[in-house]
Amino acid sequence: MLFNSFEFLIFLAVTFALYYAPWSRGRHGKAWQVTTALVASVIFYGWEDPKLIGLLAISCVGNSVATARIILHKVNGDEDQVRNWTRRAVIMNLALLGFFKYLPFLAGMIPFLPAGWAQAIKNIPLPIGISFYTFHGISMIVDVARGQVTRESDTLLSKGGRFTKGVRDIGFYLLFFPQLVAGPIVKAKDFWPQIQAKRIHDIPWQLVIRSLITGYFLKIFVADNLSEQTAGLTLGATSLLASSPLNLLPLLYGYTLQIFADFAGYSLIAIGLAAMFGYRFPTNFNFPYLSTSITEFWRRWHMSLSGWLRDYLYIPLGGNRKGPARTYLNLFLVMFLGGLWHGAEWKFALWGSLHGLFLGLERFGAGSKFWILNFKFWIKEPKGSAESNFSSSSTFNIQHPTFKIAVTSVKWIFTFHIVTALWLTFLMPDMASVLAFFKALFNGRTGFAGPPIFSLLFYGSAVVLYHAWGWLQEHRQPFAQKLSRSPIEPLLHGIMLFLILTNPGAPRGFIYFQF
Amino acid sequence: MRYLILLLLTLAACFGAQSLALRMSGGRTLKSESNFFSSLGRIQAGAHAQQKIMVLGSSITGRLPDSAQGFADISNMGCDGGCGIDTLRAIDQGILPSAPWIFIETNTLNLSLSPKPTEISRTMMSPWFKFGINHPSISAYARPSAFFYSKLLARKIGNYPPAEAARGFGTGTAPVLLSSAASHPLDAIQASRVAEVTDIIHRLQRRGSRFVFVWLPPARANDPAPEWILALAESSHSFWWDLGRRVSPQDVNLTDSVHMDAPSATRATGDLLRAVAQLEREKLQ
Repeated sequence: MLFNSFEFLIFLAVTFALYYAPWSRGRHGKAWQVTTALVASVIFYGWEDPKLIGLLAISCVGNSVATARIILHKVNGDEDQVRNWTRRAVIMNLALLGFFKYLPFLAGMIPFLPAGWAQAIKNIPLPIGISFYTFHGISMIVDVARGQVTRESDTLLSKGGRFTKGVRDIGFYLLFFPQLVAGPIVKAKDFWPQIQAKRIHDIPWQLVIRSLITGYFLKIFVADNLSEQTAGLTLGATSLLASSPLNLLPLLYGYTLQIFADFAGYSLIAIGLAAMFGYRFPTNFNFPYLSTSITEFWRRWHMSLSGWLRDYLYIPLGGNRKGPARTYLNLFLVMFLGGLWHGAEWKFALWGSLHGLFLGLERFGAGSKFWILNFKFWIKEPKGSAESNFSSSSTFNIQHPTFKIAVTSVKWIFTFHIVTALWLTFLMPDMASVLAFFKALFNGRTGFAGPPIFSLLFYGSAVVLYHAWGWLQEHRQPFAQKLSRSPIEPLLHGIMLFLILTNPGAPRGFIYFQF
Repeated sequence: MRYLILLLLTLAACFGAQSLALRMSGGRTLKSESNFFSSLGRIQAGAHAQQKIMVLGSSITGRLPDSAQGFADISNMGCDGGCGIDTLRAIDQGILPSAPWIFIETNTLNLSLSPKPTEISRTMMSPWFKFGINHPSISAYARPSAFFYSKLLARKIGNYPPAEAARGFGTGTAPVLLSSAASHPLDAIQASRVAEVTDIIHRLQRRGSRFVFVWLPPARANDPAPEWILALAESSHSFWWDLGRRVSPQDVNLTDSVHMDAPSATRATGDLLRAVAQLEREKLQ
């Protein structure tokens, strides 16, 4: 079921009414609400293909059993058994992900595999959202094993007396429909303490309205409209070679804005929906296209995935504690695997690896004496450094605000264009298309079509304005606060609602659903 | 409460501005930046207007002026990137109203041989599409983006001359009924499409519609008209008119290789009106 479908509206209304039904205020309010939300989540997930519920059930029961065992051994102080069960549970989650997502990909690379087998493996369907609920499962297992999740019922769960309730709560955490299919990836330690009885008068309506209107606006008005044009980039090398740079560039910029609007829109809708049911989800996007470095980009883009990779992969691998060489290797490995997490194709691995490469270069540059690699260092500490010699012979005053703005602008342009160019490997069906794109950029054709550039300006400007608002919040806080208090918010929400109703794009699934 | 009042006032102001803009543009926008919504918009506007003449076809048809440009009797139901058969099926299924005269552009009719259902045909079944026919504010022809894009497009294709001044290309030709004696070699897909569309047309003819298959300018290079289209016109007892062939290339201005500019499209519309008038006169006689 899609958040932007008519049936979802009905589903939401019914679930909301049942969740806050008068009897939810009684002694068993929490049990009623969690069970209602859990059943609704199962219906939500199985709406298109009920067969998928079976897999979800395996994941849910498997994780519940493992969690119960880990808690039991944790209470008894048997750390060896805790480690054993943690290992088993993580392997189970990775096995599920590997079987459905990566086995079909690997089948093509296994030599001497009979053609019939390879084809049968390639035909294994990819269950929607598997990457997300697998990561939720791993997060829960690891947090429990680390003792980061503590609840009153842990002890009871460990004694087996409340196993059913434990399974219910764990299932609810794994399946809660706003985040089930495409995140944000909520960590167990952040979610479990929130599992309480909820009251309708506690709903933060301002957050709900802001998130839902902005989220639907970004998805339905911006992303869906841009996608009709940017689909032209996926038609293959021949089609790209026949295009002119004047058409291709707006399409590439359009895709950059579209993928943000699509995923940030989804995340905002998820945050708004969760808030309707009394749960807080973490922010997933913090105006990523304001970034002035790739490092900063990953602190602002898909923040819940970045945080997950940091906590459950980068740090356990040793992070930056084991010397520079290992740090670079870890950084690269995390980005390579992060790329593959997006999809079982080499193009995603390449996309992640290139991001890893740029992260490594930036890290190297930050400690480098070469000023060109280290603008930031150079500007902050000119005196007594090698760079000050350079500046003294220069006609520029490097502390001058104008110069600082110029440097920041250059860094922003550089970062934005690296991110934009790397989206090509993410989007294109194959490497031949990526090469054809760059070849076509210099083919000298002058043909010009109106719709791509019009769409970029008309729909893309909404993303630009959204980021301008982010910039104001970060750099002109008093003015941003003044604006927030002015009637501009209902005015903007009115315009956004109007555009959602009258100017929607052709309904499309969310890009991240495929992951 | 203040938030809600301001929100509702803003919404009301937006819908008011949209209605005003729609009225100023003659009832519908010319084109959206999206082929998909341009097509849906024309079809919704055509269904809403219920004129005497409907023109079904592709983006070539889409350039023809209709009631929005002062041609009171015409509904342009051109489907960008598609052809008229999806719209014809929707008329047959009762999703769209019929008309006394239905022109089917044949320039792109080959596209109907593809077995794949189009996005347009699927969307015409949706409640949103049907709702938009009766509620212009929600229709595809009143999208805010389409107002801006139509302004831009007008610069490219020129302005439509007034309907009163619409003269045809002066070819002196008219639609004809083909002899059923001719035999046309058809492959299996063509034969099945001819059978399907013939059945549809016969049903609509029984409801009072008359059909003309027309090849609009620009003309085919040197090829004869596709056999299966001639077979279709013949078996469905519809008129066939190779207008594009008869028009001198010097008289037609194209904005690219296939689409007429506004003055040429107006002349083509003038010819369609003239043909209908002539066929009605012949029927009376």
